[in-house]
Amino acid sequence: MMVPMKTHFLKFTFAFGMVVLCLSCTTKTYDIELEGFEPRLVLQCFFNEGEPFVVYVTSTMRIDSEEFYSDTIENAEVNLYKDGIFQESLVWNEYYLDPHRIRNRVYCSDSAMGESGSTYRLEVSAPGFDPVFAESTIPEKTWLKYLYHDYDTTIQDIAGVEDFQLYLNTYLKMQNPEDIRNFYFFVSRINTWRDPYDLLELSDPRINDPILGNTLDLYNSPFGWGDPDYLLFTNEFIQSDEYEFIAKFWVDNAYSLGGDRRIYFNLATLSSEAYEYMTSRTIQRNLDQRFSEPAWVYSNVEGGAGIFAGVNIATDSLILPIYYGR
Amino acid sequence: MMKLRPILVFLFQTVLIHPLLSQPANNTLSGYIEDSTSGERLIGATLYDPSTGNNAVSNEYGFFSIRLEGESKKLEISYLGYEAAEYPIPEKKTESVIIKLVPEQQSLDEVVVTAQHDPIKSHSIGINRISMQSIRKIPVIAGEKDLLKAYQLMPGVQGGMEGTAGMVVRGSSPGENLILLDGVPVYNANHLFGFFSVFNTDAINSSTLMKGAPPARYGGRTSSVLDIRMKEGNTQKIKGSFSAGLISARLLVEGPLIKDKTTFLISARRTYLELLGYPYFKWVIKDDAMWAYNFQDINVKINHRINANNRIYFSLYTGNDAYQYTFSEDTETEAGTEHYEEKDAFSWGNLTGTLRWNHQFGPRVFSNTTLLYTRYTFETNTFREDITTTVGDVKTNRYSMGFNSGIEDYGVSYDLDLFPNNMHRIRVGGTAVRHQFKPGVNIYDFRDFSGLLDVDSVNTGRTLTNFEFAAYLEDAIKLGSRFDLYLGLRYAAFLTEDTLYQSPEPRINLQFRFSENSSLEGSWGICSQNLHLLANSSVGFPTDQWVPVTKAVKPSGSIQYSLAYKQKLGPLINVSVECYYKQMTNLLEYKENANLKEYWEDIVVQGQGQAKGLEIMLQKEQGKSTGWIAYTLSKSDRLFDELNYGNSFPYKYDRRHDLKIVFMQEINERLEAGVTWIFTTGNAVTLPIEKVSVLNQEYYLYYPPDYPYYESKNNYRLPNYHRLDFVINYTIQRKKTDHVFSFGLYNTYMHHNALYYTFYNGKLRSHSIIPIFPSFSYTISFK
Repeated sequence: MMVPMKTHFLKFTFAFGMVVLCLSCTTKTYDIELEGFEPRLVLQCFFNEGEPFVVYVTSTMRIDSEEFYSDTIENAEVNLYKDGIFQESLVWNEYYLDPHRIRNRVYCSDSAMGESGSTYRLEVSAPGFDPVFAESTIPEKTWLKYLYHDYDTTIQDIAGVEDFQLYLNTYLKMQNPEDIRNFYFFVSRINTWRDPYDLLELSDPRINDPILGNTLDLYNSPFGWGDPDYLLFTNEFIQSDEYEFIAKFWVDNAYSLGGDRRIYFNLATLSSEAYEYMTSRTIQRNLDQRFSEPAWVYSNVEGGAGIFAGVNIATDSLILPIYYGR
Repeated sequence: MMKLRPILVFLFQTVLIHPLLSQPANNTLSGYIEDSTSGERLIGATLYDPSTGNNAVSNEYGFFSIRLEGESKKLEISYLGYEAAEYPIPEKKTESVIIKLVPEQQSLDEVVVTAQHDPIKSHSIGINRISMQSIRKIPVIAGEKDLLKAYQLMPGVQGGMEGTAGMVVRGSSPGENLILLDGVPVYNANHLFGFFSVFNTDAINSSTLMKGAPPARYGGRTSSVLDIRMKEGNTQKIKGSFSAGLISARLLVEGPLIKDKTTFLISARRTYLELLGYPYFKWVIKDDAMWAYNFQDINVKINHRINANNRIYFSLYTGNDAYQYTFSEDTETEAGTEHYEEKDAFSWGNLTGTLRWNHQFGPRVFSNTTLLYTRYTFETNTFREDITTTVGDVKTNRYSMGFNSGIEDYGVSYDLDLFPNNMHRIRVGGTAVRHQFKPGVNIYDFRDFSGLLDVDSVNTGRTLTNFEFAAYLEDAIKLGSRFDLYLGLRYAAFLTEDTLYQSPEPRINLQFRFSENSSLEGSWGICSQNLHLLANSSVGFPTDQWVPVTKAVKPSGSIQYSLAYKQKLGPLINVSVECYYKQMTNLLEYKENANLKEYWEDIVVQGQGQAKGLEIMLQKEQGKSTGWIAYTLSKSDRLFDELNYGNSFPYKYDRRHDLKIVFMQEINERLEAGVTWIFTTGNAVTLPIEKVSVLNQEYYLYYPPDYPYYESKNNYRLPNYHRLDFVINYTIQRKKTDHVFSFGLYNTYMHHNALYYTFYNGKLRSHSIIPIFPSFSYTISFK
């Protein structure tokens, strides 16, 4: 017996409607109640040996704010102490960072420079906010030296087309004060001499070291897919007073950019506050939100948020060598 | 311990057993209580002598012993789900008797007085029981009858996340519940990521949940004990049943192997989700990927009656979950061929086994010796391989990572049940268990043909072997007709590495009966726990690890105070009001921002907790309309020096209000229905209400320009949870078979109850995967 077309249509529509109805209620969005929200002061400052103190003073924003950046607070009183003794009040400053014309609105020290081994305390107050303070010590510098380099080459088959791949192995040596538990941050970048602020041209060092760790760790971590181009580590398992490691770079891209290019290696010895902060931000960035406990970004700012931490940066570099083997 | 054991046995026999055996036994009636149709021993049945007011309760093997006075004429016997019975006392009392009770549904009488659990006549503070008949009428997701989900409907008991089978009892974590199957701990009671429990209800005889300080014979967990006993097998004839639902099928066969001597029971359950998944992927998605998931359970039990005084039992449970995803693809290129393969797999499972020997020394002494084995394993593997074959060359990219963990126990225990007189019931015993923990083994195999990546390693977490010993003594004392006093003492010791942890655990319970219809009961007890469940999420995932106490990680403990008032409102309805206060010490949690790749001991912290609550329950257990209303008002906090800036914070399952309404109705001989409604306050979760913007580049880290700022842990309360479920069972009875058709709906009015939450751009999104879930099942039972 023929079933009328209309009946078929109605049945299908009903079934489709039921499925849509069921599926449509599988996700629901709630507005979070933000009653009682009171912004607090945020400090951001990593201070280095031999450099002035540059502090960003802002405030926290509502979580549902669509703004990425909060305005800098201009009328704050920012006092700097060194080993418990008042040094100076930091001065409001506004300047542009070339070449991207990034406007920096910061509080800068006039004469105070970071000294290794000294403990600095920052006290900040501003109308409408609870006062905050934070302190940290600049650790002793750990030197880093570029030693030499060699190459790895491969012919990679990409969709049937042979592609020449060039990798540069750079051999580096770092000092290790054995009796001190140190925290480190290693990063490298490739810049032209004409464009020292070309921060977008970061290199991507690959380190696979049994002691320092692996820049690919996060890549394979339970936290999900990350994009690590730096290494955070401690000297807990380094047994000697010096340690040599290899940073590997895929350099085809750098050659194709042309110009004189220099690879900079930065090894920052971190205060424990800086290490905690960077570690927590790395975890927070790579968090799988669904089933993970939330990651808390570390802060040493009492009464507020942010970070005020000492670092001591050692730098070495080499001009990207010309490869003749292609 | 091995040297001590013969001495202890000798002491038991000379000090305790011998005096009892030497007493005249003609004023004692002892024996077993059984189901009249199947011969199953009934656990926890109450015997009451109305002429003297004396009572007794059958033990875990259905054995009872009651001293009779001269005027005793009959005993009243009651058991949940069975008709109340009267047993005339025989003149000759020296022989062991068997009293048979008729199941409720077997009655042909319209007006039938069935038994209910009488909370007034015996210690019942913090104790909940649900009959297997009731579990059949309680609606559940996908029509899978589920013991743990049924207990989630009791006051003071909550589920974890939506749909999951984990139990949160009185503000403690799921890892603090001792789940025993025939006396053996089951370490992971979850199937399908916790949506179902591992217990096949077809094979279960009885279950009891103890939420307060349990009797001293139980130990090893700080929150609760769920004691599940399997059926022994029908002693009368071979019977069976088969059931098929939306996702699984079950089979049960039981009966006598040797008439009046040996019985057996075999039950099996298996899902067929992969049969549904295959056509979906093959013809709907049209993908070469293959997805398969299944879980299965097998229960086996054999019991053999050697003679009137000796019986042995063997029971076995094995169950596992297995998930596999595979995808492979071969591509021809001008240069050669390329083979790509993906595999993701994980599996977990339990294996438990017990061999028990019951020995009755006389009418007043009963002993049980148990050999036990339990094992829980979890394995996962991820595999990616890309092989490019050209003339004279093969290049391989491989990424393979595996993880497995587990726990394995061997043990022995000995229990004596002594009935010296009606004033005392003494239990004494001990247990010794060898635990072997494998907290995690990581296996890596990474290959990159460019040579950038070459890792082939096995990182083995330390395998830890520990020994646990415990001894207990308990006495249930009748102080006149109104007072019942329970005194228990458990001594627990745990040897780990070269550290010995010892814990004396006193337990006290006092009950005062105002009348036949009302009582007041208070209890106090200390419990300790020598292993922890490390959970990194709120869902009962199999990746949660069992870890032991070590030198650095201390045993957790709890002290619980409870007070209960119970009142009968007429012959059918019981009301109970119970309050509790629990202090918890040395609870284990991950550190904030713990890196889970590190060794577990380095990333955990220990702290305190407290829970308090009020539980009110109105229950009707007999008649055509049955059910209960359970309300819990509770609060549960945690305090860790290294979490939440050292401030107290609410436990994630801290739920202020929790209301459950369960209603079951026999409409006629063929039709019965069950409805449940659940309402509970939303979970406490950690959500930021403010964020911090980052203005500088922070040493070239490519972080997002802002990050959420958390003021405190578990600071935000999620929306309330509620749902309505129902089930209808339609039974057709034939001469040799019964046919039951069940239809149910889970979350009938489609309320959005979230399984998990995400937070993005200041908006909280909750995700639900079961907005409404219809179910259908068919069961055929062979009489």
